[in-house]
Amino acid sequence: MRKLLEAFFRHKWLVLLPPFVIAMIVAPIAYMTMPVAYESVVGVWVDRATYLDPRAQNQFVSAAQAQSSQLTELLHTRSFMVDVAQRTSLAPLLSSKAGEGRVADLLDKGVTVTAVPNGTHLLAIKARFTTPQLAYQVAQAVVDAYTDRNANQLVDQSTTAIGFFQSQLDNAQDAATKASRDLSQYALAMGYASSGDGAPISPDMQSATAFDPQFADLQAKARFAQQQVDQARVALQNAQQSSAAAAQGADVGFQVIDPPQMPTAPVTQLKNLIVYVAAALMVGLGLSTVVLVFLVAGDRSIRAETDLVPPVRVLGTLPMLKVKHRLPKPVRASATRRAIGFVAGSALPAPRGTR
Amino acid sequence: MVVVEGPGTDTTMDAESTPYHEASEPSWLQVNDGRQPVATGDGGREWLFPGVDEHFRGIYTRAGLGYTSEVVAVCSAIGGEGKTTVSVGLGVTLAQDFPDSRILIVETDVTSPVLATDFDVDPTPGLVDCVHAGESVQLAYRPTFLENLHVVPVGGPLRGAGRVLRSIRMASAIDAMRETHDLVILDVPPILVNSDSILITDLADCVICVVRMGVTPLELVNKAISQLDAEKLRGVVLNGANSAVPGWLRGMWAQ
Repeated sequence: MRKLLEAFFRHKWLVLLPPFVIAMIVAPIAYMTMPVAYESVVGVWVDRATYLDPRAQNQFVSAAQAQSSQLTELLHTRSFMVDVAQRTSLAPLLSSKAGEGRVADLLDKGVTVTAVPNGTHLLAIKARFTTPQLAYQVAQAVVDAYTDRNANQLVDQSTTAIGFFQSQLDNAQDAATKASRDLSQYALAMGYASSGDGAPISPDMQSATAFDPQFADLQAKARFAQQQVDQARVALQNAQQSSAAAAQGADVGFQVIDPPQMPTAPVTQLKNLIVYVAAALMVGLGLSTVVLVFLVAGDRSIRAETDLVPPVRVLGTLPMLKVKHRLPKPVRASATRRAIGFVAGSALPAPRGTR
Repeated sequence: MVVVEGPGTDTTMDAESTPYHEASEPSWLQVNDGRQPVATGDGGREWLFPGVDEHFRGIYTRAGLGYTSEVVAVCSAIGGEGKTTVSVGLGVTLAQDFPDSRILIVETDVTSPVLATDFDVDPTPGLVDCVHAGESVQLAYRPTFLENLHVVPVGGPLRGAGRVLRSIRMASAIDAMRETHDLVILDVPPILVNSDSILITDLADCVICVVRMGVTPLELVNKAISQLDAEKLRGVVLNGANSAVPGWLRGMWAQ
């Protein structure tokens, strides 16, 4: 450790300079060679699918987060990537395998989907490319491709949901009809009602629930059956609404608030520049470490009494003695010795200006 | 100012912190001026690096120098580690601390003579000149501002100076120095560079090895030490301690 510290402080510039020098070389090169980028941003309002039971959805993930993950994952699929690329000037690249790979790489690096911080429904789709046209095209294409895909998916899913909710409604209505009929028949039989055709129930009937548990049970069943019918009807209506909206291309769960604009000025790439400089600093630090290790390993000189191996009796340690006066060159090497011998008669030449 | 080494202490000392221009000898900038210096003795010059004498004091105390008459060789593995600096520092401190002892600093490195220049004294006749000519080595003694401290420049240049240092006369010269001075400090050439140094250290009673911190590789230090007589080796002086780690961090590390 002592040798390490000694080597560091003795050659501090040699050790400290590499990180800064490399960073200072890399920063302007990175700045000059960094491609100009244009960014087009789309703001989207997203919501959950209305035909799904809210209780079945994860309440800890916001609609924006869910859609963001979905869209990001979709961007990594070949079919979606091709769908997006075909809507842009990148389409010709899709003719070859290599070109397709290049498109995938461009979209992977150029398109980012993020949920707006502190928001639950707002989604930002950013397309960053070397030309403003491409940035705009890709941003628009992502939105269009996703909307189309969503619409088709929504139609399929809502059709399935409509069928499901319809059958549920039918079943619920059958159950409600049966429960109502049972109630009416019982009420008629017991004399709580005048007729079984749905005529108003007599006032006695209101009090009959208090003393006739079977009648109360039938009433509760009828009410429950009616609630099931109502719920099924609401779900069916939501599914039908979604289906209708999807059919018309107006998905209420994915509404573009801020459509993409053609960028007019390039974006600053400060973040990339910082990354490059930080990487250069890290490389420089590594180099400094290597230099330091070599300095320590290469220093075989004696810097402390303990360095003497095998141990030899040390009579004393003389400090470094320096004469700081400006002296003529020929006597500079002997200045310390002359200063020590001064007591006995040796002497240093007069400092400049004292003669 | 007293320098205490340890965590959190800056080990770099600054000559500027001393008002050297106010030293007791204003003419110090032109020491000797080509003449032999007049030793000033006590009350002479102050250390330009305040507190550094305490470091040298610690070194000679641990090495056990100053209490007996002996010849000590100061060597290093390679050049530029601070042998001459340590030799001069030890010589000056011992001369100040033991005024009754006579100290002699002897330069033996013919390849890079510096002592005459530093003390601004005549480089000749030096050690090799006297030994080569078979003259008394006392001719090479140069006085300093401290009465009990003398220096001997290596002299030359001389062809075959290495042979001179290996000759039997060199041993005689060192014996002559033993007679005139209580402590003789031999500033020896680098062991791994100049083979004369091994012979010279053999003539000494004890050896101190100087190691430049942060410069000399451990392998070279071990190699140099392995060539020395283990019984004569008093220890190692680590020179030029200078940690780049901030004091507060060293303090944390020490805890």
